[in-house]
Amino acid sequence: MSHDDPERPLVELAAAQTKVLDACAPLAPVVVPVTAALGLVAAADVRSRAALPAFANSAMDGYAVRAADCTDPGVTLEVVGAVMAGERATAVLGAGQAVRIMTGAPVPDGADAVCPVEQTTLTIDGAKVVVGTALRAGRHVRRPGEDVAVGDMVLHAGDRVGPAHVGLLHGLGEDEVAVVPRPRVGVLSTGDELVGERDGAGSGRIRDTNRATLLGLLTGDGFPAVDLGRVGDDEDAYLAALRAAASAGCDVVCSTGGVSFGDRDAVRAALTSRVATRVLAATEVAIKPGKPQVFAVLTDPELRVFGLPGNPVAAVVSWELFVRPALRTMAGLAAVHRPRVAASAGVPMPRRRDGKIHLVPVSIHPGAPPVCEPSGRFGSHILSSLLAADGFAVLPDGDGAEEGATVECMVTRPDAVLGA
Amino acid sequence: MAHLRFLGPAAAAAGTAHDDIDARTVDEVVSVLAARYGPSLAALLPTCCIRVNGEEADGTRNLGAHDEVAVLPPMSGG
Repeated sequence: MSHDDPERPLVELAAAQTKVLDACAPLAPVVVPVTAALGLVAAADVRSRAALPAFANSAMDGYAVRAADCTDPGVTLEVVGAVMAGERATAVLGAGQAVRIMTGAPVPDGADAVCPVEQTTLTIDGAKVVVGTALRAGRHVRRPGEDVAVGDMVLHAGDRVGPAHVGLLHGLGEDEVAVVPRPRVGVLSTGDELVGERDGAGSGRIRDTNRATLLGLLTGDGFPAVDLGRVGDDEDAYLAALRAAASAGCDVVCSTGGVSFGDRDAVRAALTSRVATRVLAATEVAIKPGKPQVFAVLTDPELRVFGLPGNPVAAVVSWELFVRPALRTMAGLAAVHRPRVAASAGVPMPRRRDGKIHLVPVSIHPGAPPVCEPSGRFGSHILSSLLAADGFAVLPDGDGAEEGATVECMVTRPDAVLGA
Repeated sequence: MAHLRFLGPAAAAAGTAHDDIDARTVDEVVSVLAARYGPSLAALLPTCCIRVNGEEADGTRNLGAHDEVAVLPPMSGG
């Protein structure tokens, strides 16, 4: 870990985020089957080329009638046929006639209203029906195009495709849709101290937790993730891993560790002095945890690389503040940052003045206002503090918050705040 | 006389890892690289980046005798 060094001024969080997001843009659109578009952002407007419903159909089980015959209750009509959902209506209704009809079945020519079966009485021989109510034209009839008319906009560029979009596009006969793909993200851990999950920890060796955590965060957000494994503190090995990521079709690589100013901080060294970059931010950001950050856009291939700090809470905070907003930008989403809520501090949350924003893992209980309290001990290495975390209290530089004071929280589990 | 350093595939393309160059600015260095080191380096240059003493520098940056101008290769360039 590096210590605060007056020679290296801290970059403000907002400026650091801007530098990253300015270097990210939505990926080139692709055309995919409608079912594969779920959760992706539409790349172009879609206007309906068909009407929904495609034909006039009944909204009720009952009798299709002519409203002109039913201006008063109690009219008796001759039953001349029946039409079920999925059938074609063959009968043409004349004056004084009715056709038995089911919900969704096409309304026969000549008919312009439907009387629900509950409001009718059939004669014993089934040949006639008494309509117990007066009916206006159009009553209980779904008009063609009533839901969607030809030319209606059903999907706007920038909309996130939801289940209802998928259903509607199917209903309109659309097979494919243009969307912004999700970036593919490789995850790499660095550090000579790391061992695998099954290897023995101890004697200075620790099991790698960051890769599993980041892969989980990616999967949870729907981003295709590639496990790039782990490498030691070695610049050549790191660059080889980046090449492997590019070969595997990654748009982005997230590595953890090696970004501070220690003797073996290979990630910082490799990205600043070994490979051409179009954008490079190898900085210290005025946040705690998560101060050392490296972000680079390589020139060829155009791979975006996040060098995140290796401390596990710092890595997750960095994911929330930098990586996730960048990935959402690349996926074409407009809202890229986590929502924030003004909560009340359930307990005192003191901090010391150090020129940085502190991001404290908190549980958030629903209420007006919601109440937050630390979900564990505060420290960049206290991964267990994230187990019950619903978000992070964003404590500006200063002395912290007294009990009951308003604290801004970045919410990572909105369901918790909504009490769901 | 600034010091010129080629890294990795850029060194292979230039045929040398180190050289001295008499140039007043970064732009002047860039303008002679292709002619001085040949087509292999010229082909690589559009995806290379230039650093002065390990830092990003714009083309108008003045160079002194102790400055190191590094030509960093693209990742895929080797």
